[in-house]
Amino acid sequence: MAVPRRYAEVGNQSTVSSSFKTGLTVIASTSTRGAIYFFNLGTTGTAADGVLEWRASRFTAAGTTTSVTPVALDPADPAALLSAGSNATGEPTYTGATSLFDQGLNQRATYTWIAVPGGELLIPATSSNGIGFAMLSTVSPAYTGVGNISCHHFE
Amino acid sequence: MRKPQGYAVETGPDGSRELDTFTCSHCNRIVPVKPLATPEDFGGLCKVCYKLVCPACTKIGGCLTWEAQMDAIEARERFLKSAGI
Repeated sequence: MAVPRRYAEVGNQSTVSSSFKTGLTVIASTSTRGAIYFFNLGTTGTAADGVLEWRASRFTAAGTTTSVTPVALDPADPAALLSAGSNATGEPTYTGATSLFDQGLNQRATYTWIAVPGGELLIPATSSNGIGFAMLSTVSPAYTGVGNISCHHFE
Repeated sequence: MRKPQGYAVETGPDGSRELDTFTCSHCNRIVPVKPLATPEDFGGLCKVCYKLVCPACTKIGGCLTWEAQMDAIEARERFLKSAGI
C-alpha cells in the first residue's frame, strides 16, 4: 500500500485587522487530491488579552500571496504537487458558507488540531481551489500584530 | 467520543482545553464535541452514508457527501478542460 507523502507549510498574516485577512493558503493540484491533517494557530505579537477569530474556508481562486514551498516531512519524498501561499495582499475568493473551522481565541492562546485517518480536510484536485486560513480581531483590545499558521497535508 | 475523527488542544492563559472533534461527512467541517454533550447538540448521524454530520447539514437533510461533491467538481473541471474552456 502506498504511503501518502506528507508536507508542511507555514504562513503568517503580518497585520491582523478588523476584517478577515488570510495568513496561509493550501492550493490544490490537478494531479491529486490533498488532505490537511494538522494545523496550529497562534500569534507572535506583544501579549495581551485581545480576541482573534480564526477561520478556515474553501476558495476557488487563490488570491495574491507570497509563495511558500511545502516542505517534505520525509526528505526522500519529491516536491509537493500542492502549493501554498502566505500573507495574502489580495484575498482568495472564498466560497460562501464553506467555513470548515471558525473559532474565537484569546490572543495569548494557541490552537492545535490533528485528524485521525479519515477525518482530514479534503482538497479536490481542481485548479486554483484550496483551503485558506484567515483571521480578524475586532474586540478591544484589538490585535494588529502577526498571526501564524502551521499546517501539514498529505497528497 | 468513542471514535473521534480529530483532536484539538487549546492552550491559553487560563490553562489548556482538549476536545475531540469529528469531520462532517457532508460539508467536511470540523465539529468540536464537548465532553458529556448530548448527541443532538453536535449534529446527527446520516442514515444514508452512516457517518456523523454537523448541525447545519443535519438541518439541511439529504445525503451528499463531500467525496461525491469533490467527484462532481473534478468532473466539471475535466469537462471544461476537454472543451478548451
